[in-house]
Amino acid sequence: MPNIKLQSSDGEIFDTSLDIALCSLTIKTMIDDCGIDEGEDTVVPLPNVNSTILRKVLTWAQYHKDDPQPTEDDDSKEKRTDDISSWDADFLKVDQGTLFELILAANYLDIKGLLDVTCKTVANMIKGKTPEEIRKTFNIKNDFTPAEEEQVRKENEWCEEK
Amino acid sequence: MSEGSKRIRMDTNFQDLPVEMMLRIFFYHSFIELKTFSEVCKHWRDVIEDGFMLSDKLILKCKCDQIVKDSDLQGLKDSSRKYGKLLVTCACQTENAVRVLTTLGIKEIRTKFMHTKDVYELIKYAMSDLVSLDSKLVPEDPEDDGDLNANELFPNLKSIKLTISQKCHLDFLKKLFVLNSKTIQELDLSFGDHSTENETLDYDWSFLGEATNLKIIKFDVNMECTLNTENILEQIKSVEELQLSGFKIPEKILLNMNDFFPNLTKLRLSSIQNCHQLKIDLRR
Repeated sequence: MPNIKLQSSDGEIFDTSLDIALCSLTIKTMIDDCGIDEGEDTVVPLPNVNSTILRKVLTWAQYHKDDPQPTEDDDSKEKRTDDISSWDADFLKVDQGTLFELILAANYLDIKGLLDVTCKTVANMIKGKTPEEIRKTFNIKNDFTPAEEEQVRKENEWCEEK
Repeated sequence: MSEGSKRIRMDTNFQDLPVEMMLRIFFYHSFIELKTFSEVCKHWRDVIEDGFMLSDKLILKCKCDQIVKDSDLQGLKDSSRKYGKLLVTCACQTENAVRVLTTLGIKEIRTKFMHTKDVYELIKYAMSDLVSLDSKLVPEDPEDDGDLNANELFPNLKSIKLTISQKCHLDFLKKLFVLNSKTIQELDLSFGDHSTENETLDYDWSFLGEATNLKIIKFDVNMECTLNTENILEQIKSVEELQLSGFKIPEKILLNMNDFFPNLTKLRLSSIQNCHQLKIDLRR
């Protein structure tokens, strides 16, 4: 398998095996569209991903490169978050900033498997928490006035799922 | 590269995620959790309201046993939320439910564990523009079957969904049908959800045949009850969409579904009693 050069937003070049890079559908599309030939010294610029995150992403892709392509069938997708593999769980033991950067990178690079597992990880972080605990966890400011807060709370008491 | 230029900012936080990513995260949570999350801040509330609680997904739960305050009702009316359905449970006072219905102009009702007479009491007040009734009926005293007055019509009633475990529930259904035979388009019946007895639901289904606009029918038979299925099928020959589960279909009909139901465009059969392996999914 030939190599390909990826350039992060801060200018670092990553010489990467093509089969790893192709985990990203964004990169795949770029290569398909531009018709990059083997051996040619082309650099694919990734202006939205910095080197720290790109290194993480490539580590993830290296480990998962032989995974079956996930299907796009979102409707039938199960709503479970307890199926994160131990490798992924270890891999995602990072600070919040890195985790959110990984979500943004997985989205930009269009790597569905990584996007799913990072979103699940965040989903687990907020599961079962009270609004105040969530605000604390993510440093979110409560911008409701006391009256608005009361209104939201009241409306929530009244409604139920279909 | 100097130390300064190499420093990479990692202070991205939750609020930096695009809405689409937030929805992906919230996707893994239950409705109850989402309600809690909508109290975090305005941005979360807006994302969740727009992403999940679209008006057709929202139903209003009627508060149970205390009298609903006028101020609460006004708050609901002024709220930007729109409610598609009202859920009424057995503990609710009918008066509460009726006030909510009329104040907010809700046209769809779902009831849980109510007696037919209470359901009737409720829909009687539910204005002439009741569109849909979805009712889980409780087993009850057969004498206690409500009093549907032949003068009361629901000219907009299009859809009926009932959970049936007793004959008196069928009486209730029949009355609704007789009164609204021209308007009802959709019928969804579940049999024996929480019945403990193996009752023979032998019934004269000819009232179904009177419903000339009945196009979509769903039958789900969960219990060992004896339904006169041939009689039922005879009455609904002109139906366009049919979904049968746990149903016993006479073989001569089963083998000629297309001829028997000339208007059928959608058919789904599962767990057919007399043909265990059969699972048909037909779209014409």
